[in-house]
Amino acid sequence: MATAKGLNVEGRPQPVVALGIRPRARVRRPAEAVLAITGTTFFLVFMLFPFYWMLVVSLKTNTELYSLASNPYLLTSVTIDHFRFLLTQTPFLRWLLNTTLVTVVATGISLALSIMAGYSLARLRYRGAGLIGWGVFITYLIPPTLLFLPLTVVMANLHLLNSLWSLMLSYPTFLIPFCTWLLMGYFKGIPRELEESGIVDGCTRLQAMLRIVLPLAVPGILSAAIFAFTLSWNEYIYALVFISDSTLKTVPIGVTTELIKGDFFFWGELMAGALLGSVPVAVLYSFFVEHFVSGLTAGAVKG
Amino acid sequence: MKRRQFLKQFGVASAALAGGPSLMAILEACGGGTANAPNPSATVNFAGGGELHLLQWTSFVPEADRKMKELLSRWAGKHSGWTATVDIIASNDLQTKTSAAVLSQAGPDIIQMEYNWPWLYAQACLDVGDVVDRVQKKVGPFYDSAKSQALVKGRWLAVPFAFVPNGWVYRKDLWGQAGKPNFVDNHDDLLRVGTQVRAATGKPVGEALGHAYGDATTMWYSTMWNYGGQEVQKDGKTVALNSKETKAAMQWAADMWSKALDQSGLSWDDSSNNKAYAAKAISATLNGASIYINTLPGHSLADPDLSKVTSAAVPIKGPKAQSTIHLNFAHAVMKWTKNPGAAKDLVEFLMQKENFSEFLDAANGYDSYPGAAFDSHPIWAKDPVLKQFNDAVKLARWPGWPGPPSKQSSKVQTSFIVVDMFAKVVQNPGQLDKILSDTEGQLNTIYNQPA
Amino acid sequence: MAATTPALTRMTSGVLDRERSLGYILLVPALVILGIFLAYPFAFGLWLSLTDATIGGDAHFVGLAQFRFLPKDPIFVRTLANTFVYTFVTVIIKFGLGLVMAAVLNVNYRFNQFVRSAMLLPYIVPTVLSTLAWLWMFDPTYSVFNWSLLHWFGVRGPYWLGQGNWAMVSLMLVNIWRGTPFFGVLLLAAMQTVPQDLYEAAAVDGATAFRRWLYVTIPTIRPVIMITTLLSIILTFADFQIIYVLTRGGPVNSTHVLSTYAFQVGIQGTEIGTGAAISLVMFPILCVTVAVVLWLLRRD
Repeated sequence: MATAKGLNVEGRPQPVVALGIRPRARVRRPAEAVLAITGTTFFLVFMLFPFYWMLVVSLKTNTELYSLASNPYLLTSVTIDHFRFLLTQTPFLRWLLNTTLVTVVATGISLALSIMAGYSLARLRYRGAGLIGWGVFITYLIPPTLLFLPLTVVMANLHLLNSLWSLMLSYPTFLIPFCTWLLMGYFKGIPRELEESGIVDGCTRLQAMLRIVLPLAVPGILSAAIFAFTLSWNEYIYALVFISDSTLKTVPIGVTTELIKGDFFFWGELMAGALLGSVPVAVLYSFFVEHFVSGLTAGAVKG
Repeated sequence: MKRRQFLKQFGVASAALAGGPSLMAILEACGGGTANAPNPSATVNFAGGGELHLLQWTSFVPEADRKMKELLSRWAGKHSGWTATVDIIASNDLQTKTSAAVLSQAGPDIIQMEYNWPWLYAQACLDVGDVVDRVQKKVGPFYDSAKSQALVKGRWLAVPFAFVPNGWVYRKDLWGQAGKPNFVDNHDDLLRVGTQVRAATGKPVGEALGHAYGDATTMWYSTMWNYGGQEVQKDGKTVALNSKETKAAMQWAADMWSKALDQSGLSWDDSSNNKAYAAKAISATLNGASIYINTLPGHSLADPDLSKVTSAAVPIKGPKAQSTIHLNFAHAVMKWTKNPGAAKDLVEFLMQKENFSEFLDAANGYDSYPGAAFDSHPIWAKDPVLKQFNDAVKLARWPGWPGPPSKQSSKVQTSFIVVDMFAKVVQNPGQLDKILSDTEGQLNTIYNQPA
Repeated sequence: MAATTPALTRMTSGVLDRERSLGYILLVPALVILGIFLAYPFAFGLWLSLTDATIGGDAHFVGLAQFRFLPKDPIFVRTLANTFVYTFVTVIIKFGLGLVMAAVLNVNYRFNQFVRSAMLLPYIVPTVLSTLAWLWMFDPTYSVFNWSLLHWFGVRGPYWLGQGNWAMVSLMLVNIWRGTPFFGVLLLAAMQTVPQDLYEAAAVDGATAFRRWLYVTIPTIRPVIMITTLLSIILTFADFQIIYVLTRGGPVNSTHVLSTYAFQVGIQGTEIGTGAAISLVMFPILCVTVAVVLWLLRRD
């Protein structure tokens, strides 16, 4: 097959190599160009307007923010007071650090376990593999609102409440099912012959997995990583319930629990927090967006 | 399968993975009717040190939160080896945290409970009667409203701490034009003059009719009571909503809505009237002192023009009563604490005259003592507007009045059944009777469930 | 020591080389984590739904009484209907918009890398924080939408979160805003893998761009469409944060979905048994949905 692709439409395993989004033909007809420009503009406005809004609110003085006479789209004067308050009067940087720590560790744990489980379920033949594979996927359907209180009991028993470990260990519960499923699809797409020839050459199975299969599955692993990273970064309810100490909070929790004061929202600070809190993920995405999408579809379809 | 059998099987499984105290004990504790641990002796042993965590809401006044931290570290400074920390959480999320702590029997040693939570979480709270006795003796007695919420079936399960009183915040200039610079004091006048003000200035009275746990509850329960309506009899069991008094209250609400209220009220949460007032879009609203304090210099809005024309008045009266609900706090010592003696000592320390006085100062008039003891505190003399809020404390009632607070009354409150009754009637005044009987049906369902 | 090592290595490598043992060994860590932190709480939740447990109160085994009682609760019935409407409407619109977005992004032009990243932003910003921005945009006093309607068109806008149907529309709007990029980018990726020769063949046959899209692109990426829709259904059905932040189920319980109603009953009303039962209703519904979609997928 000339074009290597991860998409397995016919249900046959296919090589997964060079998964980048390849360039399409240039726009040929003016009508198409007009449609594309109109469409792009519409989506950019719809998708980015709330971010423009966050920026405007975070830079406005409260007097202007609360004045009905002022134009809500414009800034007549710019203040950095909200950012200053956020960075000096709250442990925001600490929250950012906590979120990063939790996200990196939870993603790492989930990936390691999902790679192992995904490889096992996809490549090795043993009794119950199919059933376990389904079981793992079904867990993805359990509603989180049912889980978080019982999970608190478990965390209390393990003496993990109010510790970042409670998040690092609980996030994998909603990451592993999806990542495993995604990676199973990936591993199935890598031809067995490659691995078997490695074993013939003297590799053990484990070595064959590590040296031959894993490198080929990198796009899928990367997709799983970015998926896990985003979900961990955004998680709200577990972090709300498990963490109490101000210096241990994550960004979504810290910002909402400490800047909504009684019946008054500190809007400027909240929006400043929303912006600063999404920057790291945004940067990550802008580097990896192409890999993310190609890997995600390639794996998911085969599941 | 019997519950206990089930628990036993569960417990075996959990013991293996939990390692420590088995889940069985925990389930027993939250499910079984075990009695509270006996009170620790009055003399507390501080030897060896330890740590305490107090969970409270994120106050509107940042200085109040800072003062709490300061008071706790002052307490810790008196006892070597001890630390005491304040964990703050937005008020909307405080109950989630409390529920999680109670279910898992772990978490903060002291929880600053709101409303009637001591009733809801009774089995998780230690008896603090001894502390209450000493505080009432040394500092001053608590109002009935504070008592009703913390004294559960004869046992004090929390020490009343503070009220965030509600009063009418209004624009002197606008109401002055209608001849009422000191605001009105009853429902009829609020409707009549409010109509005039809205017609003359375009600025309505603003009141939440959405699921606003504080503002909507305060406004619409008190309206029901002021007209003589009530959800239950004094026994706390017999539903008594359907009465001509309740109808009168609903009729007033419907008239008020069509003639004098802000039409966006159905979507309001607790922060909405603060915003609408700051936007100079409404002429009056029932709220805590936050709206007024916010306009003062040094606070986030700091709008001298607005603060000059802002004043406050105590909650209005109806044909049968002058009542209100305030957000109130009480410190509960949780039974899973490893240091019950120290925790109680800390709670008592916060209620000491000089310490509470400092807290009042820091809270800038936003909080009040749950009794009359601090009525002559300088903070009220300093600002006559704020004094109105302190004067309103004694008008407080509680959801489920005139019965005792209960799980049922609490469910009615947290499912916004009374508030929704008013929200429905303002939209469909013609359906008043049906709305009332439907609501009574809902109340019957709740009150007929076993306690 | 020296003598035993090769034997040991041979033994371990033997274990690791046998498919069955290696399979189980690799599976164990994931199963342990899922067992402790998922299966066990799930079983606990199942048990709660069979009791009349309250937080801080007694619990008695009541069998399926909770589930029998639910259909008699008018708010629950409304909530269940809301959940279906919310999921159905938003998933369809997200899919439609996502398809258009993918088609637009699939056109090659300058800056298209930047545009792709920018359009993903709604999906990656922490939901609770972006929803707060929407809360401010829907504010009855400060709504920027109403300001624009009034100043540009002289029209008074609705009270977005205050009127029954508008409140639902507002929630759906935010959900669509957040979820469309997910569709857009996944479908885009799928479109990129459609073999170029298929298009060329269609072009030779004289098909217009639209017809090429309809008869070549869509059928080819059907599996991705199914999977993406499936994921979106799962996530939308259990959506919590958007509703919790914007309306908390109000006005008058008209915008509750299963997760927020379970939360209100179980946490705020402290009836954790009933709350667990309400949450649990989602599980079989999702299982059936997934089974149907996967069956459709296999059939091809």
